Amino acid sequence: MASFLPAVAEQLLKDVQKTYSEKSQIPDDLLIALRFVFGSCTLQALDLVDQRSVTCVSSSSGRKVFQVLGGSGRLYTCYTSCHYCPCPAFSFSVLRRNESLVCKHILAAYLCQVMGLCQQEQVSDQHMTLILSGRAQPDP
Amino acid sequence: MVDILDIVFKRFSLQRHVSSNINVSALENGVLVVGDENINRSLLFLAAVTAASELGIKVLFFTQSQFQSLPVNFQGSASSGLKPEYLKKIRFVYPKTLDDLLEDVASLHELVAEAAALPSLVIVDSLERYVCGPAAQNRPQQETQSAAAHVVALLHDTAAFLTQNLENEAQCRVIVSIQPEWKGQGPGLQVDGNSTAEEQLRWHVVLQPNGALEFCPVSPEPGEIPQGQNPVEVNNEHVPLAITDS
Repeated sequence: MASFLPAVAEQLLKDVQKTYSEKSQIPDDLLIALRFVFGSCTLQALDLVDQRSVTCVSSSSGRKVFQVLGGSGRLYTCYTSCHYCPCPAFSFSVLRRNESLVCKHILAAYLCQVMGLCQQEQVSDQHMTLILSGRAQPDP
Repeated sequence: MVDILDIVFKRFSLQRHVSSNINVSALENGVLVVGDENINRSLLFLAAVTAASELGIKVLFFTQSQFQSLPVNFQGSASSGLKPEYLKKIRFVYPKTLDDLLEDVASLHELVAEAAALPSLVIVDSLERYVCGPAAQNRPQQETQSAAAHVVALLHDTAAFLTQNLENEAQCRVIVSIQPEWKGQGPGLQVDGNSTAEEQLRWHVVLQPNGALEFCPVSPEPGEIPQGQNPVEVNNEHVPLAITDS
């Protein structure tokens, strides 16, 4: 995902990527750093990663999008090139209050990317249009 | 500032007011134009025609209401390079609702499969009409902001995808216009005034009685632009525009 994160957050994700590729786990010091940088959504995002909740959906045109399965069972569509999530937490904490960098769904997408834990799904171009516009969800 | 707007302002500005001290920020691919809707519409149309004629690129123009007549006067020396036939490079799309706009933008990736020419400039006129329109009158302000964020994010993501697929390392630009505090149609859309004075260039745009637009840059004074407030004052003829890089 093209990043709009501060440099410290980008570097932290690179550190997670490197360490996870070597050790297949995130050590405590990186977990603490994640919590410090990304705030209270970190633990919930890590839960989503553990549950393999992030799917990278792509279509034949090459367009890609992330779908994150939330705790309520709802699928949240997050774009690959910028920060946006339709969840209430993003709307409130990120857009309105500017308190958080991202919501748990976007952070889960970042983490799954660097850890190589995204599920993959292929859809038609027409179905991708519905997903991007927020009108449809792919079959689970 | 999107390179096309840079061309428009420099070409059509009153020469005596152009100051070499005004530095256009590094070229960005997305710009939000804030001001009176009529001025915005004419400016966006001029940008579209300039892009089609000067850069020879395909333009996609989203607006809610159809153009009944050309909003810009093509006569005059400044406009001598602009010819109405360049309108053929501009595709006008008239989505009526927010859902229509989202679907139209979301479907642009299908052009790749169709081997159709990809647009290098995507324009959305009067975003407030889609997120603050009559259908959204009872919508909470928070939902209005979220809807606007959704549209802008989708535009950004779509432009990034189109850039990957354009030839010769071309880039897809996005220009969105809004009129804040759209009177009579819901709570309006406040523009975040967090940009620095250097990032937020201001221009006086004068709409002449014959329909021609003239541009004059205005260097903002320190402290002139209040934070968190709409920096644009709208009056009948001399309408300052705030151009914010995204």
